[in-house]
Amino acid sequence: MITVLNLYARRGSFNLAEISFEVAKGSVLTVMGPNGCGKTTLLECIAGLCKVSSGNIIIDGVDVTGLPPEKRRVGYVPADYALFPNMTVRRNIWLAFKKSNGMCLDGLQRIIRLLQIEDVMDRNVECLSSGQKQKAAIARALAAKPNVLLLDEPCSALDTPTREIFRRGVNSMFKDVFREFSIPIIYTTHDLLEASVVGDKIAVMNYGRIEQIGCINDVFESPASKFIAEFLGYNVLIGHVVSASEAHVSVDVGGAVLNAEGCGNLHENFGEVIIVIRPQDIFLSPTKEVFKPKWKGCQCNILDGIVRGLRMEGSVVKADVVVGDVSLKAEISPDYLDSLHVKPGGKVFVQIKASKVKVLPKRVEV
Amino acid sequence: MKLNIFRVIVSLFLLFVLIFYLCAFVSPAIFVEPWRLANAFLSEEVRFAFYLSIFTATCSTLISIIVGVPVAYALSRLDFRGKSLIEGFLDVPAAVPPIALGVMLLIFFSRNPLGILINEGVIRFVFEVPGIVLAQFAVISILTIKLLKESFDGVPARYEMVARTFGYSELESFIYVTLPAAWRGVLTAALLSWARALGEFGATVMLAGATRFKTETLSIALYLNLAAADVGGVAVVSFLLLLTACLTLMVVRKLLRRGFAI
Repeated sequence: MITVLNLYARRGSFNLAEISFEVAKGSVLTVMGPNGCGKTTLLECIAGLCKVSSGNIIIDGVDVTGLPPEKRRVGYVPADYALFPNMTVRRNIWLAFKKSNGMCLDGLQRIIRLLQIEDVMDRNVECLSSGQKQKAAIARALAAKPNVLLLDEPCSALDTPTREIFRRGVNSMFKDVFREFSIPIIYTTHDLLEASVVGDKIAVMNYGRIEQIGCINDVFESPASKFIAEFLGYNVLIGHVVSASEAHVSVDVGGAVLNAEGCGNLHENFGEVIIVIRPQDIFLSPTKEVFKPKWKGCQCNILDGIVRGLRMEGSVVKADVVVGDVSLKAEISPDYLDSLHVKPGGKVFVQIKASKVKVLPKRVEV
Repeated sequence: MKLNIFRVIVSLFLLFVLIFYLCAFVSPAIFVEPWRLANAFLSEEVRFAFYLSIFTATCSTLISIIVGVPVAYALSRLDFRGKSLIEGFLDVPAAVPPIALGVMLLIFFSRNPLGILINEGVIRFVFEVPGIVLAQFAVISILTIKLLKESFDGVPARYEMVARTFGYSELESFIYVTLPAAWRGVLTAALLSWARALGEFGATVMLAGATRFKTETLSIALYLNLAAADVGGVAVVSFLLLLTACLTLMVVRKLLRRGFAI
């Protein structure tokens, strides 16, 4: 297990602050955030490659904060993989294996087999594809038998199809490898899709701090701040509380009133609040009646809207809809768009379940 | 096809430079009788000068590599106060003419108490063979350091960082990761420094003197033969220096064509 307690570090003018988390053996923490938020600095602090100002890093009960990198037994795979040049994959892995603490030859062969790199062992690292480099770098890190594995954006160098293969494969091959070793894994990425399939827990970083940490569903369903909601691509609106009770709250957002559920801590004089709605929770309907059968009986917001734009992104259609003075992003399937018969400029009814409207006090903002 | 005047002009300049050096290189062979060349090749003096040059150039190159590797690594990897001042200071020996460098070394070993102590109590440099090695080292070490630094700069520090996470100390990371990654650059630095040491004259003649069969390297032999108006000897020594330079550069070009690739 790895425990990071109130970690502070400084690199030039950049500060890492108040970093605390715990990753159990066999589980994966995905650290997500935009470029420059401190993901790599955090991993380098854990690996001992960046000086820590204060705080503690405890690995398997041992405080390693003051130890040099060679005494920490932390496997680190940087974003560019850093495979040693002018050497074969075998020599790269052998260099790590030579210093391993109790890794047997059978174990090493099992890693190579699980990662499917038997065929490239005698190839020079410069002759490998990005995917092969990634696997070779992970095999090399594991060959040293680390107590923690740090993967810094391992997919950043992959092209889109290979990245897609990795995403699919991560649930089988990589998870087999990770399970086999049963060590804590910290995995950084700025890709939402990757973050949603790789980790057991997710931490979202911004300006050197962790803004939210929790299970993937909790973070994706209930972002704790405006930054996280915007980073996840959700609709973020500023509104005023019109009425509030224990069970629900009504918020005026640019002329349209939205009802939300379960906001007991808000009251009518609360003032400005932040409304967060996921694009996939906005449903566009041709009629004013609740369109989804399973929503019947639930409190539902039904608003008049005008479609401003429609565009295909991957397998979904992104729609920009104007409601009152505000613009909302919605995601619908291409098949549904065909049945909706709507074009830019056309009128639709925007339906949002009250339980899917999240209200955050504005003071939470960082 | 329209003639490009600019391209013609630059090509003519290129041709001029090629002809200029070609004339200089082939003239000793054309204007000296073959029997004189053959005699000079077989002369004991030329053979002595050749072996002494190879020996001293190899010694000074080895010393400059041994000293240059840690210095170049420190300049490449460490960040410390006054680093740019030190880098600037290290450029000075490269800008000073070798003959002036030789004079400074001669004054140090003959006038400075510490220099006198070293010269008389530890190892005799003035007008002796070790003086040739020291003079060559003084001239080539800056070139060696610059070339080595360039090759270490080409190896990202990240490799050493990753090696350290496997359990390697800083020294082990350098030996097992950085040096193998930079070997081509290190070899190129050694070869170019060796070629430069082989042709060194100014500092050598000042510190080690020009004594026949004692401190007579190829360049000194060239100077002595010229003073004695031995045209055959001059031509042979020039030819030997040219041949060695060409062979060294061929190896360096072959190495560089593959790049300092990492």
